[in-house]
Amino acid sequence: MLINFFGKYKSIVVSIALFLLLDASVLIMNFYISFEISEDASGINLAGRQRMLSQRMVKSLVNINYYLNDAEKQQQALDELKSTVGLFDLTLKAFSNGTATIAGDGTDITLPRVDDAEGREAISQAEAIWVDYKYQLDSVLAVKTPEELVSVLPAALQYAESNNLELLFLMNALTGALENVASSKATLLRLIQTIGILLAIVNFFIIMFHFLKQLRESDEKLESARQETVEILDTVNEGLFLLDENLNIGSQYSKKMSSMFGLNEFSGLSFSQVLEKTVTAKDVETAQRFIRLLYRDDINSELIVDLNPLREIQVNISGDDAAYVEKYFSFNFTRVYQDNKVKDILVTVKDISKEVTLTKELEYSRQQSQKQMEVLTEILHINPQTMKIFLDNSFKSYDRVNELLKKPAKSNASLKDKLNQIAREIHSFKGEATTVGLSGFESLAHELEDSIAKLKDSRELTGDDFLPLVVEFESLIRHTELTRSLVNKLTAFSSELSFNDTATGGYREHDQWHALVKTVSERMGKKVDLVVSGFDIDLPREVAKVVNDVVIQCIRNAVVHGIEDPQTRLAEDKLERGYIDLSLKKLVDGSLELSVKDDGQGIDYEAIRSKALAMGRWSAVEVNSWDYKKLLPLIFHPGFSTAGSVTSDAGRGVGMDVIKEKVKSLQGKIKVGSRRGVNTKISVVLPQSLTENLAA
Amino acid sequence: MLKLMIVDDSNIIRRKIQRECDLGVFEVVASAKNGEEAISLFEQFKPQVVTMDITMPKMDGIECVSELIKRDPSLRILVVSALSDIATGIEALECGARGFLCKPFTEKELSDALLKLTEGQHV
Repeated sequence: MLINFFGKYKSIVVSIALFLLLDASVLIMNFYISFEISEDASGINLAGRQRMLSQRMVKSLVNINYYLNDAEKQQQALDELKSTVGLFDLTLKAFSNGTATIAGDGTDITLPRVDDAEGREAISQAEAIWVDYKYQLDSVLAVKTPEELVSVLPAALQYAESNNLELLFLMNALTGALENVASSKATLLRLIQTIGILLAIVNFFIIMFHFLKQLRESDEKLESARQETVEILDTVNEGLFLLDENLNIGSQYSKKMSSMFGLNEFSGLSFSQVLEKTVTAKDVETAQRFIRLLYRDDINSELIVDLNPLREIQVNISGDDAAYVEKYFSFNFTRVYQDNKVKDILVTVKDISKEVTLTKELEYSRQQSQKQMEVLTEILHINPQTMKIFLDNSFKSYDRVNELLKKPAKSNASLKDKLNQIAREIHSFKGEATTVGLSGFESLAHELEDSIAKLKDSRELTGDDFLPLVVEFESLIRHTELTRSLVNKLTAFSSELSFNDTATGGYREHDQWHALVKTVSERMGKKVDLVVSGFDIDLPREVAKVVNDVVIQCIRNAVVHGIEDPQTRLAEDKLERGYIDLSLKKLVDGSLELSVKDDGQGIDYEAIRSKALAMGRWSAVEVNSWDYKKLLPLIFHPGFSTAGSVTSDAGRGVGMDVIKEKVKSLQGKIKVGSRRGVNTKISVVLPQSLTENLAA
Repeated sequence: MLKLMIVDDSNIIRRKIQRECDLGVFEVVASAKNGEEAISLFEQFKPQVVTMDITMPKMDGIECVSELIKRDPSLRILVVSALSDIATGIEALECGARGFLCKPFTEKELSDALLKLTEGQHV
């Protein structure tokens, strides 16, 4: 609908339409009445002419009589009488019936029928007189001879004399009546005009009033909306502002901005003006380029979130107390659309210093504990006596380096000499760390050596050049102190709890193996018992380590690949709980035999075959021709795994091949035996020589 | 299906993207290991979507983006790069790329990014 199209402006449209309608009707009436008045004027004019015509008729009659002896003049009078009678008759009929007559200028004119009572009366009386009068006049006009004229003229003259005045009077009355009608129409016209003007004024005031009211209402609404915005902007705990296409800040922004950026007025400032003291010039430039990308409508804003250079930015804000505080802000940019086009960018700025600091602290403590774990692992791999000697030596060495650093040196040569002495000290310390197997110490010493080497290359040395060395040297000392404190803690544990420990690794691992079986079997929904026997034999450290690795890999394989889930076992008439027998024994020839036996499904050669095919290293014909003797060794192949999916328990394919390498490194042998559906047994035989030196 | 070209000098990344893209929405029509190769493969296969590494031998990603956009301004290019230098990423976008995915990425991040990149293009 049209009304709907005009929406909130419809009342003004209606008012204007009303105004125009009013104007138009006044105009039309005006026009119509003026037209009537102009018609009336011709009527009045012609009524006046009737008076004149009645007089002329009398004059013509008198002239006819007067010029009885002058034929020419008489004829003139007769002609005049004839035309006068015709015109009078025609005009009187026109007044009476509303028919046509001839106007003063000779044109035809149709008169409105006179309906006014007074005028009507005058006309009908005039008509009554005119019937006889015309009869007399017509008989005068009809004569053919002078004798005839002399006989009819006296009667006509007499009638004219007795009725002429009456007729004149009646025509006067008609004129007066017509004048009255015209004058009342003129009054009506004035009245209409006055009313029209009055209505127009009223309409105008209504419009005025209405719109003032509407304006005031919308002003109030605007004001309250503005108030709400102001409240939001005053309260919100973030920086909040709009950026236009020229990257200028809009007039509305949050109060928090002042304290965040240390400025009082932002309106009209450019983005770079606000940022120039807060972040680096390069960041400002990158941010501007980023924002311009947001104005491009062929880019999905979610796809460039990562490019926001101000997402987490360290800012340089001088606080009220001028104390330097490390602060971080996070700027977020959101498009503001109008008519499907990006109109502005809404920027929110958050102070994320706390979050960042917390994250950093967490990361630091994570690194610290990781470092501690590394140190701890290193310590546990080293003979305690060796560790003690190493630590003592380290501190002695540090003392020497400290002495060297403190020693005053002025000339370039003496500084160089000083540097060389420190280098030698650090180098021999590094050698010791390497020998003992403390890689953490080794790498710290190595970094320090690198820095020293760089200094050696520079031609001129000053005392300040040693400062970075001091820093690195201190971190080495801290590392050593950390190590010593951990060693001390371990010593305290050991003396407090006094483990009955042979320090060979032996049965200490039982608990770990049980725990492993428990964890893995639970995760796979299986039920497995582990029985361990014979691990009270003392073994050298490196042998114990290999044994432990083999046990872990084999029992894990047994649980994952060997033992079936309870339902399958029950269906195959097996006990619900699977069983792993783990034993270590000394054979008669002095060699060691480690065996891991499970009562699971045995080795699935077809699974190995299809895996071999999948590995794509051999042709299908070749693989399909292999018997179990050929297939079995594949389980020791690097990268081989038969587990269906990769879990943390199996399927990573880095197990058995590593075990094989380790056993081989001790000149040992691995044997695998299996009966499909019944059991699998893996035994590792290690030569006698490995245990001999311990026995000796 | 939209035709996709992978441009990356690392074959591990190429394979990773290929794996994710072969899931039905995109058809990987070409895979290039540098900018020059990308240009010639583009001429041959006319892909509609491109994933683009920045640091590559023989014409880097920035130049390659400009060259490709010159040939097809409607081409949707997703820059896949490490976040070490944001300004370079922005430069690639200024040259006509339409999105940025940060390395390393998960499969979901990649597929989300590609879908957003090609919004409205799928039939």
